[in-house]
Amino acid sequence: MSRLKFSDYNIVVKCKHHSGYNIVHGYRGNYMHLDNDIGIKFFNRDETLFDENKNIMDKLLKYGFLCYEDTDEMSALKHVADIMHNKGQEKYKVTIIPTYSCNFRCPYCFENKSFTKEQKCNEKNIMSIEMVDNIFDVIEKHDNFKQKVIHLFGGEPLKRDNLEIISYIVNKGLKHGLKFIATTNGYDLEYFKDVLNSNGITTIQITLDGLGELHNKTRHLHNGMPTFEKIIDNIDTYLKKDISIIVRTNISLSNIDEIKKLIYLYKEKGWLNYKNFAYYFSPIYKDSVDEYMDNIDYNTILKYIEDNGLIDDLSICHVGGYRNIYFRLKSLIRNNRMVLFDAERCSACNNGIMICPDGTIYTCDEMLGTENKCGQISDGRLIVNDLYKKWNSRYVSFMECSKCKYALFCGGGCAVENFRNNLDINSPICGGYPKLFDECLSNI
Amino acid sequence: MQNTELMELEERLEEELEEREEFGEVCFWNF
Repeated sequence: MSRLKFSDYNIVVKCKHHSGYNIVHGYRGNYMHLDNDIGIKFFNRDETLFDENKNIMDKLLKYGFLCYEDTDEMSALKHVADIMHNKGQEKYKVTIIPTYSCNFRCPYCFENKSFTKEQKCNEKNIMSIEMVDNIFDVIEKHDNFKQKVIHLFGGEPLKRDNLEIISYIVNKGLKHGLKFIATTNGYDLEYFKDVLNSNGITTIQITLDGLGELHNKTRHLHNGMPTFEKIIDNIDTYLKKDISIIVRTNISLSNIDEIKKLIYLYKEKGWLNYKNFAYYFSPIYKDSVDEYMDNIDYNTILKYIEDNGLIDDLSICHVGGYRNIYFRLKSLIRNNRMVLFDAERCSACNNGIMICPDGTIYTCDEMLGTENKCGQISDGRLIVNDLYKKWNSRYVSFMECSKCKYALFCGGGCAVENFRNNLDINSPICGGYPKLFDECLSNI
Repeated sequence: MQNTELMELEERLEEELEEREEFGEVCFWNF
């Protein structure tokens, strides 16, 4: 038998809030907590550890943290990635975009790059009843539409003008046992009370960029009018109706001090007492996932919250980037499940379909409105093209990432960067992911 | 990895993927 060694796919971090080290294996999906003495040796890959406590050595070997030198670890990772990706290919993840039109004019909107002003202002560009029937014909016919939740996105999906079509979509979805979530600006919600409930749209994400004036500076109506007060009233109303509300705040240098004020507002309004309320702060990307507006990144926001002692619970739960990783890690570890996420960054590379008002299919919201169409729904049929297949061929087995211990968590990064910059679609986009992951693991 | 270990891993992963519930908030892509 060949020599024992430390696996090349061990992720090991010192715990932040208690003693010892947390370790996760990058393709076996195992987790262990090590005490300080063992942990430091493990961290330093000190082979004198092999002669210590036999029980722990046996467990480290069984869990894959130690392995034999002739182990082909990269093939094992690719094997796991293939299974994960193929499983995901059995199911479409559907987003419906009932309109491109929006009543807000936020300067940082990523759709500004894709849509002309005319498209954003075209109030008539709303999905037809016939198209919704077409979509549900497809859902009925295909075994691959097994998902339980449909995401409504836009433009602004919950704009007053869209009430008829949104009600039609939701009622039709209910007959198919579906629930809905929506990304909305939260302005016209008063008109949607019949569909915003536990049997329809159950969860919404709304953005607040600050208190009053600073929010209104970026998130104003197309005619420049303010929106803050009305959104606050709507949040109040729908929290009481048990709708899950996640409030996002886009942070740049101009509004970083609003973090403090918004947290006070959430406390003052009593929203923190609702189990159906959550909030987080995220930086604004400039052009790529490595470039942020005013150099404010996730870590700057985390530091700001920690340094100002603003939150009683863990700060990383309220910073975009960290929060998804943290909650997934925590939930998998707590439930003694395999601690692996996905073989690709997001559903754009694994059967995500975004259906536009005219039935055009895209895989990625960053591509909406561009010439990078991936298919079409018409006559009750879904037709996808080679570009769709190209997106869906991108996962870590075919990337340099298969060498990386974070590969099955990060999924190779955001593919849209490669499209925009005419790079090989399989080029990895790391975007600081290992640091985000380590920070989260150290907080478990 | 021995073949038996790989098969065990594969089996465990298949079961895991069958059972794993959708992680709700992922849909909002909080990055």
